Amino acid sequence: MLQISLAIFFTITSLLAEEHNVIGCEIFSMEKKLLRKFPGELCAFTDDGSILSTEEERIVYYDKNLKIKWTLPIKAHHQVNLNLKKDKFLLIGSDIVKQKNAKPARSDVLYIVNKSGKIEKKFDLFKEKAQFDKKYWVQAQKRKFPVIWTPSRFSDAEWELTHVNSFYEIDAKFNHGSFIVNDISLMLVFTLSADLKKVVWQSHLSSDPWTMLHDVQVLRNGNLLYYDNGTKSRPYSTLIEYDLKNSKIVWQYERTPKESFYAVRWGGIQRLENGNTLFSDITKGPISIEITKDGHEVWNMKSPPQTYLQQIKRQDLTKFLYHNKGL
Amino acid sequence: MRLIIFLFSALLAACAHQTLQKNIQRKTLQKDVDTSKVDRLFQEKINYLQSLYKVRRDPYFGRADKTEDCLSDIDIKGKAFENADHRSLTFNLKTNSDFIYGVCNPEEILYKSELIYLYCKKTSRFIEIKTFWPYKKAQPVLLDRAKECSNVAD
Repeated sequence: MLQISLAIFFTITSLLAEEHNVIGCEIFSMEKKLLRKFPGELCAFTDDGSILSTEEERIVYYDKNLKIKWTLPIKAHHQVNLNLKKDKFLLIGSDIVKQKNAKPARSDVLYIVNKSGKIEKKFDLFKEKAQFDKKYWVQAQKRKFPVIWTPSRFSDAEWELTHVNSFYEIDAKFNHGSFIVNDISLMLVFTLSADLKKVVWQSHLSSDPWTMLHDVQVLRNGNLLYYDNGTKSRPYSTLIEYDLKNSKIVWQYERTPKESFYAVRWGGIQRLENGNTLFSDITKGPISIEITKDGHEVWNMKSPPQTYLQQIKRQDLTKFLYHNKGL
Repeated sequence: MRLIIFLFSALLAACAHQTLQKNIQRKTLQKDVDTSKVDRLFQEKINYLQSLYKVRRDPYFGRADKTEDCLSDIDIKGKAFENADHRSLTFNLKTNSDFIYGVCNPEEILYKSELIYLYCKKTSRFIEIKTFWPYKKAQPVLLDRAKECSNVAD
């Protein structure tokens, strides 16, 4: 009886599907009202009401009653995503790497964790360096990007060997791998096999030798969507949809004048169901903006000045909100 | 005339009481709580609230996303109390118009809230009681915890 009632409830709610906006661990209505707030920096919300939340030193899994079920000592950053089946979490963590004749460096490790807190798959960029085009490692070693994180995070590291900022599962229709990853220290976008062991494809993805990309993802049509922040010599940001098959840009968004959109760090982007694009902009204070294909702004939401506007998402969280009433 | 005034006053009092009741939310979080687990339950609530209100920093530059002001007139440590009848832990917090905790933006804050976690020894119940009142007004009523223990509905 309960199952039937729930099935009826979810059928009705799916007909009345609502959209919500997620910034970190906060959920807002389309009318910009705060609906829920949870502890942590980044959160992934599941249909059963449970939450994976990231803190500086660990990740925490809460059940729908906000009870901690487990924690893992993963220093997650940038984003926490669900896999396509929505039953596992994709995380970007970090380790300290010690090489001969070099000061300790920070390097990233990718994790796939299930809802029981078991690490099912792992990819350590440093340990797997032989799989990458050697020139990118050599260049990253030469550049020696300084550690820009607040000291409480990675105080042991003196420089950054790798710096992953996005990690998504790819729709099965894509034939270049099962997961897509972006690293701004190596300046490489690469894909991984389903078992997370092999680098299937890798690309610098730009004609500029220096790039800073964020939130690189594969759309359902097989194209790449990403946030090109720009660089000091090209001080403006561009949102790009790129057709890999024909190696050409099929959509891009820049502002006029170009410099009026320059997110010097961070950047979240999402292609919405209606074909519009949602993205974050920190040029003049943090704001989330929805634009149409022709770049016309149709919605925006400002955030308080110090908001960490890296992971923004438009999602239908009706099921989550039904199960998880918050505090 | 006196009767009319009396009836009108009674009506106003009833309305006020009803409004007040709307701003009090009671929920039994757990029944048949094992005595040995009570400490842990209270600690979990402290941890959750402190984590919710933790000052978070921009991961690169360390700028705080909450100011000291935000935390100045709230109590996230919790006041503990115990007698023969019950144990309680009381937090004083702020919320937005939808009674959402954790809000720090002064423009959004509309209510003050007393959040009480109550363990009733006779019934072994762990209860959550939230009271809300307009931010700039005084707390309208102090809840009698012993009475809450005897009255609470599931």
